[in-house]
Amino acid sequence: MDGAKAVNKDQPYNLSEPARNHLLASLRALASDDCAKCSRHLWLAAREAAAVVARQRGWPAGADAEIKDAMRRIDAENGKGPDVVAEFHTAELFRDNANHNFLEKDEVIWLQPVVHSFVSRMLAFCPPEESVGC
Amino acid sequence: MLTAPEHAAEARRSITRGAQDAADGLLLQASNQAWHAINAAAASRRRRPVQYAEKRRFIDELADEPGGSNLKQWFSYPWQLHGNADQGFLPAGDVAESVRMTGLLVDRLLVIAGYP
Repeated sequence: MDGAKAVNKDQPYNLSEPARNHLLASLRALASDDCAKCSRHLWLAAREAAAVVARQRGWPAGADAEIKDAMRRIDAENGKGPDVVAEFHTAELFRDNANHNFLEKDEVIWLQPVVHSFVSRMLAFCPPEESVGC
Repeated sequence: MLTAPEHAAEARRSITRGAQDAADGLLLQASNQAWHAINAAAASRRRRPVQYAEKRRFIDELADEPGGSNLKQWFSYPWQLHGNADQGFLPAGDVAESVRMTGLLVDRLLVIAGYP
C-alpha cells in the first residue's frame, strides 16, 4: 500500500507489523493534510488487525463481510454488547471517507483514536510467540 | 421551541421513521431521519438543540456520565448516515444496519438524559 511499508514475503514477520505500518502511514498522511489517504490507512490498519485475529481463530477473513462477522463473534463471546463491532464500524466510516471525503479534518483527528484503540485491542489477542513467522 | 421531553419523544419518532424508511428502500430519507434522531436525543440531554460544531464536545462530555463510556465509537453509525444522506454511497443493507445501531445509541442517550 502506498505510504505503508511493504512486507517482504521471504522473511518471517510479526503479524502486527502491517497494521502498525498503516497506523504510522495514517499519521503521516494526516500531517500532510491528506484526510482521504489518512482514512484509507486507518481502515486498512483495522482490517489487517481484525483479519489476523479472525485467522488465528480459524475463521474466514478474506472478505470485508467475513471480517465483520468475526467481530460479531468476538462480541458474542464477550457477552457485553456490540462494542467491538462498533469500534470496527468506525474503521468502516474511515473506509467510506477515503472514498467520499465527507469528514472534516477535525473529525478525522477526533475519531482516529477509536481505530488506534481497536488495533491495540485486536493485537492484544495475539500472543507474541504466535505473532512471528506466520 | 421544544421542551426536553418533547425532544426525547421526537428522537424516538425519528428513529422509528428512519427504520421504516430503510425497510421501504428510502435510503437517503432513512439516513436523514437517523441523523435527526441523534440530534433530538442530544437536545433532550442539553435541553436545547446541539449545533454541529459542538457535537464532538457533547459526545466527549458524555464519557463522564453514568452509562456514557464507550459511546464515541457508536457515533460512527449516525456520522456515516450523515455522510450518506448527502452522497448516497451506502447499500440498503448497510443503511438498515446503521439505522438499527443508531437506534441503540438513541436509546442509550435517552437513558443518560433521563428518559429511559
